[in-house]
Amino acid sequence: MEREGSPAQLPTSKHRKESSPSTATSPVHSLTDDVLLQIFLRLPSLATLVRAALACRSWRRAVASSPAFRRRFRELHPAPLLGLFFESPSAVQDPVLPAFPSFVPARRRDRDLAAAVRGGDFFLTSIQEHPDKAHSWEILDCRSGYVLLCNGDRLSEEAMAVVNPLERRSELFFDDLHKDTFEGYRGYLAVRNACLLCSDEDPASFRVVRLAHDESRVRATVFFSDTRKWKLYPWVDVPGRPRRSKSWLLNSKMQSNGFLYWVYKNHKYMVTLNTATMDFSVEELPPFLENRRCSFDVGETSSGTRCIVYATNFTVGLMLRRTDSDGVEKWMLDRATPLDTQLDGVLRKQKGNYDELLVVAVRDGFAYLATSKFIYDSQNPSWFLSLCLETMKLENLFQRTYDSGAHPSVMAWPPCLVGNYGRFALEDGILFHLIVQNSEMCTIQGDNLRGHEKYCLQHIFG
Amino acid sequence: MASPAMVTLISSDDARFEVTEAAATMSQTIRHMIEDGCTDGGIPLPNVPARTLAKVLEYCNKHAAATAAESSAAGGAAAGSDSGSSSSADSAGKDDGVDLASFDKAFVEVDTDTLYDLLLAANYLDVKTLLDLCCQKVADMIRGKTPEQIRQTFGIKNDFSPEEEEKIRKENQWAFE
Repeated sequence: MEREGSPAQLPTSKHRKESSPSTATSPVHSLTDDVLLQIFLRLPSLATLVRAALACRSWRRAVASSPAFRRRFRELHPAPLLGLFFESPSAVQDPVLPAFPSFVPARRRDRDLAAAVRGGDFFLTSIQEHPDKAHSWEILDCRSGYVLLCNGDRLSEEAMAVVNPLERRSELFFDDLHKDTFEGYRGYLAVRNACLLCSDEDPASFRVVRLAHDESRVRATVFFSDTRKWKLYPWVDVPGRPRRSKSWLLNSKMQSNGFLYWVYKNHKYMVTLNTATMDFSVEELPPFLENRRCSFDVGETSSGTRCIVYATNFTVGLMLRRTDSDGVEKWMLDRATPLDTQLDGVLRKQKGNYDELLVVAVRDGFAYLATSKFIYDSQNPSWFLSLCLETMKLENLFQRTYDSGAHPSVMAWPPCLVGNYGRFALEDGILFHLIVQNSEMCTIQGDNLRGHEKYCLQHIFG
Repeated sequence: MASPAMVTLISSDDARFEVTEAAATMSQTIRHMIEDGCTDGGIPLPNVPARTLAKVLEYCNKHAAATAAESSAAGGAAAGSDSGSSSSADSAGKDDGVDLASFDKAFVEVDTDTLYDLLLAANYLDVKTLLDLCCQKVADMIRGKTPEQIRQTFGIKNDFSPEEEEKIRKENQWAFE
């Protein structure tokens, strides 16, 4: 049917010849970033992508300059679980008594993940060297590869630390709290656990948020890693405080997509802090979450949507933000899935030892669960499982006593694959601009540029 | 069978290819051109040289023919022609499927230059399954390799300074063990 051209006489494609005046440019560079990123999307893991991005500058830049690609890659390759950090069995109270979080690796049959655990400082040895600090550290949160800890001896300076176990020797110590937090409180004051806020798009920095409440108001204090300073936000009135309770807000480590959550002690309401705007809001807890037998956590689905995962007996339910018939956005049940049969398959005869599942944490499209008995017995170890929220498929991780809070540690996006990275940011920023200058057809979409890139462009080209 | 509708495609180096409309419209770019009625005197494809276009059309002809055979065999039942990457032939479950899978496999057994040309052409012509096939092929060539092996495979010059490379390696030690 087709009439073949005569390949022998044809020159190789012109654009390639033009673009390779020196030996520095390989034919592979004729591939546009668009095509290159489509190839990278098909790589099997983050480790493979890191190795590919280290082949040359332009490959690294292609990955680093596209937030959309990173979002898509994460959707297709959920951040893998490295293991779980467990709090000390009894609360860290006396600075004289040594206490450290313990880490249990997920032990997946994956070469790269095994290497990560082997090479990282998951025993948190770097903080034990601090000369002036008590040997008594409590884990408060673990996000995007960072671990937030506070010291048992909170009276001294630098009572908090943030460590990235994969980046050895990266510890940062800072003050526990802004002392002005207490200023202007009414009645009495309580301070809740600190939460760690990280952004995959700015992996080099983080924030720590603490919530204080008095008899009827809440206030946030935020530590910024960039400035190493705490910032104080004003007191905000919130409704529905239970009358007789002084400590009416529970400690919490719940967050999703930059929203932080604290539940009232009476399980009637939940306070939400939008950390983008620093606005508080309060809404009623969905009725069946008021049941204290029901454990839950707030997190994200694999596509980054905020969700609540709860468990009652052996059933796990998923709630999403939806708009009801009155046009009010609230948490609504998406689905509830009984996991009895799957648990039979995963735990075999051992399932008979348990009555229910507890939600340990929710992260990046996965819920981490622990088996438990109605009548709690700390001697009876739990099985820890991961549940993929998309497929509702269970995977067994390990058995351990569940006598304290646990924090999943998942592989974070490597800083070297994000635009704002050391000297590459500047260099690649210039290069990017030159390309833009040379092509009049090209429009810069300001929203796609990161702050640093914008700065570079403004700085260089006035 | 009635003789199928034909269109003429013109490569960047002015070679003319006459193909069935069914094969040509596997390319969304060409489909839109046909829909817009700009087919008189042939469809110019200024970004695709003849050597590459011939190869792309070999792929389109094979797949268009297989789709036609499949739909006539299945009595018009809609075949699942969605994204499935390298194993796009899971429906119908006949020899055609196996045949097509092995055709695809052999089709991308080419030197890297040809592969890049195919990628660029498939991207420009918007032939999704071919683009998927070629991307997957390159991804398969990358997987399991160290950065140095990747450079060798694709003829890439390492343009990182030794300090930069060292820094990235140190920060991501786990990926280089």
